[in-house]
Amino acid sequence: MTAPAESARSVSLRELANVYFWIGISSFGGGLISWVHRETVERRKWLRDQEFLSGLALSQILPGPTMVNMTIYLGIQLRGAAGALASWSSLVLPPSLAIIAIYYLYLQFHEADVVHFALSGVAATAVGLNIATGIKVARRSKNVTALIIAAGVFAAVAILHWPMLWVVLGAAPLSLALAWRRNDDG
Amino acid sequence: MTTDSQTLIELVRVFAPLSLVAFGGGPTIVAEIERQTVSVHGWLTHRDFIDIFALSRVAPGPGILMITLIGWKVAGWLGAIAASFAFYIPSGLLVSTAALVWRRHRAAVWRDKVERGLAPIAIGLIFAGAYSVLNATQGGLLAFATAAAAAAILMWRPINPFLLLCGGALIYAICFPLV
Repeated sequence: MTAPAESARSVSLRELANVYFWIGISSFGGGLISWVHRETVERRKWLRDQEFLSGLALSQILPGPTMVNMTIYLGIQLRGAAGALASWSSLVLPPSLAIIAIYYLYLQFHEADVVHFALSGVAATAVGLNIATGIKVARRSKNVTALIIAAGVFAAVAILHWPMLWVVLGAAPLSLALAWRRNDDG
Repeated sequence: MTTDSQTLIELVRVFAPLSLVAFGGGPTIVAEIERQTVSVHGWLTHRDFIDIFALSRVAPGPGILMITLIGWKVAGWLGAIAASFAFYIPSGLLVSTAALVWRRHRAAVWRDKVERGLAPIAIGLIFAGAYSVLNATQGGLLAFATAAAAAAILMWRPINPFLLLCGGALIYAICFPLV
């Protein structure tokens, strides 16, 4: 696999793995993307800003967690398939083991109601963080049709409990078709 | 076929399709994970789900690790591996392929349209996830108020989300003796 000319900055697999290991293991509560930007664009200059943003857009459009997509994208851009594998596994594997270890710890205390109650507090706060994301995205799409589709998707999944797979497969073509027809900037 | 391999297959069946419709990332599939693991398969109770969801927020790494934890809880190490790979591989292959094509179509006009077309779906799903978690917490008014406050604070100031999560735990721990 050949690296694209503009990204051929001789990054070693070990360096890639090292950066992603630290991003994965010491990132708490989200917000990883800005950290990736700092490490890869600002500090190490592996990519130009434009390349980073273009990859981020792709990672957001495609299904899957944005951060994981972005990791695979950068790995491929910098070192091909091996780069993707090195950065992805360094990002995901250590925290996967960590969360299972944390769960072991939790199992020692989970019968105490106060533990569950505190975790409910975390859950409710985390929901708030997701809502903030949802509002930010909603602000960007200022037209009524988009909001009607959003409301329809919400009702189908949250109220009617329809399977998400079918809801998305049904709503996505409709929503995409409408976005295609709209040529304004709304 | 043993029950164990049956469970592993079920895990793959749940998480592999989710991988390909998770437009907008982790927060969009929370509602479906809750529906599948609690209502459809009965792998978790509401309490388990909330605890796992919360633990995955305070643990390091991408929030999507809750899938690994669910797999582990349902079927041990093999379950963790099955659920994780089922979720990571389909979208991973898709983004790998796209990363190669993307270079050639850097300024593609349709990118913007795709983004705009998928946004409403992500919005609907994110709010559906929020709704189903709040329902599962059975915390009533306190849960809704906490979520609203957290959202408001985050939109007002770019504060570290981890601090907010700790604050949420603290407020609940303080309120605990009152309930």
